[in-house]
Amino acid sequence: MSYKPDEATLTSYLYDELSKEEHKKVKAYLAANSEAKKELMEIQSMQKFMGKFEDKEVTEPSFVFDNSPTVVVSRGKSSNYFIRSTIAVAASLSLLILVGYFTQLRISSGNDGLLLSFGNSDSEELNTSLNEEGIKSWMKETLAANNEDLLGRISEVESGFDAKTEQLRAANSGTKQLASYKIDQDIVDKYVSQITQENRDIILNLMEISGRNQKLYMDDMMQDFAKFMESQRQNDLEEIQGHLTSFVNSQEVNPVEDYRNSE
Amino acid sequence: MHAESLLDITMLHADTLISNAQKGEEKALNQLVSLWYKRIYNYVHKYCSDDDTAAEITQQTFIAMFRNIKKLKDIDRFKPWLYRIATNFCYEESRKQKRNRTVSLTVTKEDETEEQIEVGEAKGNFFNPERSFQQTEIEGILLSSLGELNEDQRTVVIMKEYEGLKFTEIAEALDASENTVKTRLYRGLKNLKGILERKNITRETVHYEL
Repeated sequence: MSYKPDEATLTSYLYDELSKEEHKKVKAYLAANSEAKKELMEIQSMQKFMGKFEDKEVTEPSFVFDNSPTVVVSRGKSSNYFIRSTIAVAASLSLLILVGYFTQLRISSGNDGLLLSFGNSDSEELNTSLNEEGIKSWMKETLAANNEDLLGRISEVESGFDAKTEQLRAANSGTKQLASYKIDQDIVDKYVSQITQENRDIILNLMEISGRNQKLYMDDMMQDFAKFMESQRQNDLEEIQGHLTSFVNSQEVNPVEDYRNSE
Repeated sequence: MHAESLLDITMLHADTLISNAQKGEEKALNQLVSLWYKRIYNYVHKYCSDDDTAAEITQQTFIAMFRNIKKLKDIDRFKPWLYRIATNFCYEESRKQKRNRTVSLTVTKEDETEEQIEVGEAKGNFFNPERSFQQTEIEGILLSSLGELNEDQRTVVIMKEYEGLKFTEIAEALDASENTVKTRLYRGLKNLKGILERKNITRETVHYEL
């Protein structure tokens, strides 16, 4: 089967993009086919002719890229650029002049700089009052008012703070007094000894009271005991008496045998 | 034909510039315009052969570039992507011109010795007095000849012969396979040869070297 390269292969051959093997095959094919070879050679010649078409030199315009719907492009050189830009400038100036005429625009320059004004001349009075002195006095007034306001607020806060402090003092007067009291060692010792004395007195009183009470209690107890003993003694005596009586009685009834007799 | 210049090398390594442009840096965007404006203008100019139309389309291309650059995922594809945008605008302009055209470019060859070329009013002015007449004539002939190719062939011929794009880049720009691109190019060159022969532009008549 004879080899016939397709147009894509011939293009690759033209641009020397074939592998060595493919290149050999195409070369062999062209050697065997004069028509195909002629065609290819003519194309190669034409490519050289096409190379005479040089690039045009152009100046790129500067683009302003932003996110608005249109991108602003300032065109560079163009055949009609000068005419178009002149017309545009002239149109803009005419428009400005018209606007200025209808809005009674006035432009004046003085010591303060360039002044632009619109409408009637009453506005000039307003403009003249805005001089350096006016601004300084305005600033002073503003600062003074600001300071006054600040001072008022500070005094409010202070009085509020004082009131709060008084409340707290009233609530914690003892501890406050104690806290604020300058502690003296002698006073402390005196106080401590006073407390000690008081305590001792209390204890002594307590002991005295308790001693008295105890004594009374003991007395009562002794009396009770004595009474008890007395009563017991009495009971015992009565019992003995009883027994004796019964014994006597029994002896009278049943005389006691002389045990000697029983022997 | 398309020698690699310092500018070409710069363009090849413009990754940082493109990624900065994607972030919205105006400086980077303007630098991209500076790098690519001439190339895109000349590509479009060869396609539509009119200065004002070429400027308009080139401007539209860069505006579209600004609006869509963030969508470009692979920075390496910037070149074919930009050419694709320009090509689409060229196609759009062609369709508009077809609707509005009243006079078409005609090339008449009266006999073997004499040649008459009439340039239609729909096309722009080819001739710049500052340049040599011969150069201007050659450019005019080439422009008009390219204009006679169909859209697909014209695009591929200009991209390969004048813009020096690789076949892979052309394929990507035109959303076609490499084989298709190569086939179109071969047929385009063959047809262009036929058009030039009809204009009596051959090796013998124009004295260009083999």
